[in-house]
Amino acid sequence: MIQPEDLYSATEHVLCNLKADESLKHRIIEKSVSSNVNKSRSSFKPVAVFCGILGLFLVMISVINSIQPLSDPGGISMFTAGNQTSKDISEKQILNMDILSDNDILSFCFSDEQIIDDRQKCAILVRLLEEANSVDDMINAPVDTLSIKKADGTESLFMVSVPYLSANGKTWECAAFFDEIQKMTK
Amino acid sequence: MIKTESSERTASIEYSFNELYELYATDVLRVSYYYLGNREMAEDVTQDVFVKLITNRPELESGKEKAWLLKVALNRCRDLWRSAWIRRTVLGHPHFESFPAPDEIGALADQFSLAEAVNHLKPEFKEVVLLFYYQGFSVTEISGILQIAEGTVSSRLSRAREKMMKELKGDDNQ
Repeated sequence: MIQPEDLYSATEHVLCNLKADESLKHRIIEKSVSSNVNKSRSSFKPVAVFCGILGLFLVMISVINSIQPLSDPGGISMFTAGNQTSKDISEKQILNMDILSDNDILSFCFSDEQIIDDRQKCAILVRLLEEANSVDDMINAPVDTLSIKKADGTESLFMVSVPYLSANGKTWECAAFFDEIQKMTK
Repeated sequence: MIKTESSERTASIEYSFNELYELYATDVLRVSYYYLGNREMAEDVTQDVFVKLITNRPELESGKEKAWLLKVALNRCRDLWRSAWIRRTVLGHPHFESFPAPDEIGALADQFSLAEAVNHLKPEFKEVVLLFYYQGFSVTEISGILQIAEGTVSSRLSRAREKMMKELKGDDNQ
């Protein structure tokens, strides 16, 4: 009876036609060449990938910012300006008044005091004022006071120029300004 | 100058590949064939092994090239065997395909039975049998190739031999 020790001779007989031939050799060489090419083509470049992702991210931010500036602390749902009215009238309106600047009237309301802090409210106020009148116009205006009139008819006057304008001419330092508004609305 | 060095290095690698292919490719192919029972898969494994040799350019110790090639081949075979597809479509095949010499078909029954017995072994037994009985490696060398203890190699060899003898006797009784 044949033994496991005879495996080599048995294999030589059984598999004598199973040989690694030239065609397999050519396949190996072709595959190694193509895999080397693929390897060099697909070599991972982490810096390039990182720069690409960063660039894409920056483009996305600039696109989003151009649609709705990220620096804008408020949103359309937070207030309405001019002759617009609140879209959601069920929201609690904590401040609703008319601002009289020169002869222009700017109406606005805050719908949710919990979400936006005082500074943000100031920024919104400033933005609304800037939209209604340019900063230069306000500074050079013959009348340099703002008249804020509540819905119940009470009215307060505020200085428009220096105390509420920052050095760069764009950001209002309006903490005192808003404090007065809060006092007025309590 | 750099180009010349590169060319010399390439030539050296090609020479190594040609030499190793001529010496060991058939062994790698047959061992893979024993393992998988499928010629196409065995050729693919052989191809993968030698492509790895060319592309990775491992530093092979003199005299241990064959061990490296068979180690890579067996690892690849093991990976393939683990896939459900191979177990279902190849190892589930009832007959061991053979490539007999045309003039020796009548005298092949015993040898064919032995090949079948090897093919029916579980992979862990098949590996040690192929390396020991077919490729002539020692237990220590097999231990190094398969990264298992020498005692485990001996025990697997013993159990594999027992199983093969049982199958061969069973064939004799039929």
